[in-house]
Amino acid sequence: MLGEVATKLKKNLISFNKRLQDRYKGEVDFDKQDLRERLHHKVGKFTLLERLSNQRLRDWLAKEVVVGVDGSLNKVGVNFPHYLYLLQALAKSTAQEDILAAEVFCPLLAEVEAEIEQFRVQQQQEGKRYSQQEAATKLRTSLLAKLELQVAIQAIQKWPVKLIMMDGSLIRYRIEAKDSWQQLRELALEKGVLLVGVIEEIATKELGTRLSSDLEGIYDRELLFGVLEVGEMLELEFKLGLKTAFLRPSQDPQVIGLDILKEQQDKLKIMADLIQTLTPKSGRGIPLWLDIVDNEVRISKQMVESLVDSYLDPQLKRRLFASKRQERIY
Amino acid sequence: MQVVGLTTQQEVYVASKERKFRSNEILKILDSELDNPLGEVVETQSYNRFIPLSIKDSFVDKGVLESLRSIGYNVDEDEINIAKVRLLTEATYPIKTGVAAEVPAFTEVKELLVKESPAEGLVLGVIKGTEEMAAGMDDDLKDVAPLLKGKEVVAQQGVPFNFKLKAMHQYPHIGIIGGSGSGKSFGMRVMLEELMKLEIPTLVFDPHFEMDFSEKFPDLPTEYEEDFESKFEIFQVGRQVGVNFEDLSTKDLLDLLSAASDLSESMVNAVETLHNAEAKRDSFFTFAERLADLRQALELGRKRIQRKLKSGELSGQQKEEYQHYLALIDDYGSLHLSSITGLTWRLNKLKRHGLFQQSISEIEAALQSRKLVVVQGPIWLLQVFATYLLGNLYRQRRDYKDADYSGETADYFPPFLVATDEAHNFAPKGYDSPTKRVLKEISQEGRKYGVFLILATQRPTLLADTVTAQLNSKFVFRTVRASDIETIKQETDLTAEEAKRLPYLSSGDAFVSSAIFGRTMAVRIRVAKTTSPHTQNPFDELEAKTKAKEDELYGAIAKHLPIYDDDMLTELKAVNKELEGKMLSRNQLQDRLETLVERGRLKKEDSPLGGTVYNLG
Repeated sequence: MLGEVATKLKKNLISFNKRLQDRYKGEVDFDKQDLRERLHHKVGKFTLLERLSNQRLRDWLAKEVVVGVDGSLNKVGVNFPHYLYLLQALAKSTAQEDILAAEVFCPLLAEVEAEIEQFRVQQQQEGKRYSQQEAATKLRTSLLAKLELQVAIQAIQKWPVKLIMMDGSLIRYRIEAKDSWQQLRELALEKGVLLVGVIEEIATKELGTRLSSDLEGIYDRELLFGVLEVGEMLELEFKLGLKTAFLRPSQDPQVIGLDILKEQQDKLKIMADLIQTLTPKSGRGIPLWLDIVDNEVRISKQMVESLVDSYLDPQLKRRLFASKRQERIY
Repeated sequence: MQVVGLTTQQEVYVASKERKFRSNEILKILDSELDNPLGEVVETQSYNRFIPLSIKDSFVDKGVLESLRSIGYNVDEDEINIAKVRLLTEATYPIKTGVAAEVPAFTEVKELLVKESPAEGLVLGVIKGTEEMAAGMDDDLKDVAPLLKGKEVVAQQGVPFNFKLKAMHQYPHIGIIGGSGSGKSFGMRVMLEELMKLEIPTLVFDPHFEMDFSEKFPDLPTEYEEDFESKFEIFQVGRQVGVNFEDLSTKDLLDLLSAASDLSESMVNAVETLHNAEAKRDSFFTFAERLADLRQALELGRKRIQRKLKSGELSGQQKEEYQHYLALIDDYGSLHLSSITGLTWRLNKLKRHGLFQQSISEIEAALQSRKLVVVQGPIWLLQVFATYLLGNLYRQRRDYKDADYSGETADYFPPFLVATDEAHNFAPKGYDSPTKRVLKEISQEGRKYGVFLILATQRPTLLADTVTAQLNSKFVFRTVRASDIETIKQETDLTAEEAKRLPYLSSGDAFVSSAIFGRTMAVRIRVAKTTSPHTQNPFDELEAKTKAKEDELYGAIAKHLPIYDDDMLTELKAVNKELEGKMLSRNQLQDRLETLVERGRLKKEDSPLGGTVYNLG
């Protein structure tokens, strides 16, 4: 039985791999040098980043701090509307101070239900149709973005911040929590706080379009894989009000992205230098600082379970959120 | 501090970001439903989730950590400290996870830690892990147990460990276990000092000649000094003390002889037949003479004796002698010559060491006046003597108590303690030894009569099981040998975690497993107030002696310099005069001069008159 399943899967995987190979044949065989030339002419310039010395870092920062912002999401239950999300956002400063915001999101509550309805009506007026389920998801995403922006705003108000490093693209905030984003953006510009979004998984298809028609539709991560040297950055501009850069801060050939405010683009180099400095050379290419913040904001599965067990009525919990899936014995 | 993770009725984990934990400290778990139970830290850990163990992980990038530090974030501060805490008494149900924990105030743990006031008990050291709560201590507990840190004497840190001597009535006998350098001898010394403080009659067998309490510990601040001079006496077997032969029962004598060397059955038979023959008490002289005569008689043989007597060639005294031989052969003819020879040899060995020259009356007197008595001697002789001495003193005490129990009057003999190092030699496992019998008896019955043992050994595995089983309090110092650790595990209530720590204990740290406390405690033994007379390193001693000799010679020749080698004889006379009692030959003098030149203290030059000259360096 087991062998049969495995044989079938194996066959499928082999043919899948073949089809992938066929599809990427052309691009994979890109001449790296040729591609770099074309990128240089049509997209933007390559810059070599430096690792900042400790003294340089201290001088640059003076008495200010670097803040990392990240959020976390945990789900209890399975299907709409019988689920519960625990949202948490953290702003952590390098001076060992934390600002934490948390929220519970559950479509079963009357006001959330009302919110979902309101959201659907709004979108319908703009000609978009959402199911209840989709609307709930949109709301939840925006709630998390809002939480993250809130802690970032509080951080600027409370601490002498030099730079805020957000986990993920800045454009996400603009789309998901427009008002809060506006607030943060203005505050940052006013106080001269640098804002940078570090994008772990790039999902854009910008470069191909600009290079040539035959490359259109190819994802940037596919195109740039292994093209940048370690410590190299490619600048470009395509997001409204933002400046974007791709860089390879570690030996990992996959690049990461940076978003900064257009108004602060003269500081791009130093920000990228900082990101590169804080990224372990042989690591996965993400600044260690963000990993630390992420680690701190993340709530472990056991922790979620024990929280839910301690503070939810067991009968309600069973009735509303227990899933048969979790009770599987194998 | 907070209780984290899975809890049981016996154990919890407590975590803290700010506070580091120490093994053995006591924590109060604030679970009000369980009446805030107390627990002891049995294992400590600390980890930093950003510096994982695995080397594949990219996190261990020193440069990045450095850079983070430069922007103000110190990854080291993300350390989390975790303590495994064992509850002192089992809770009725598991502790609630998440409750806080704190360091208890002294008053909350006083009953657990202090069983006796320092004035009444043996102040042996401090209880480890109690440093933080010591501030609230009663005044009489403060500054009674100075400690040794490295080579320096420092003030007491923590709650003193007072051993409740009076509880020995209920839980008798103490064992001190530890390898060399573990602080075992130190511990013994401190214990004896405290016994002297309380003037408890104590008998110490000292095979290492180290239990002298007249020299004060170097660098001990004067406020801690104590004069023990009038509280102890040292006797050496065969010099000041020995066995009074007339007092020996045949069994005693057998024990003594067998301690000199094992006895064969026929030898035992011979002693039983010959000693105190015809119900008359033998002196050493009469017994030794009987042995010698019998040996002579057996060597001659009945026939030759009879022939000689018949031949009529013997005159008065000689005839008497031969008649005496014949009588001996009549009485003891069945004994073997080889047995008699062996006995003679053993008896002479004991005599040669002076065993029969003195008595134990001085020891009795010292114990009667509540002193500590140190008996020194080579270990085999000490064993011989201890057998007799212990048997004798124990009997006196027992007779008094037995008479007392039955309402009769008897001479008073005080209760006493017996302390010895190398106890496995006195009560070995697996074979019989005379001392073992008496130690076994005391270990089993001594409680009834107020006779208690303090047995120190580095090889608990070799100590007789019956004796080990009776040691109600055990001080366990650093032990490395696996078999000994195994024995300790079996014989004490040390937990697996504690046993694991045994090879790593610092010198002077010990676990005390005692029925008196009902649980194992980690203690640090206080600094001894006195020191062993031979703490000097033998190699330092060698250097010092050589130097002294050189200085003496240098002093003697200094004023005769320069010395010309062709005129050495003249100078030799003068130098020899200076060196009292020693005469150097010419060659010896030249040798010594050469040595002084080698050491740079003299200079050797060519003399302008030819030959060489030794002069000031």
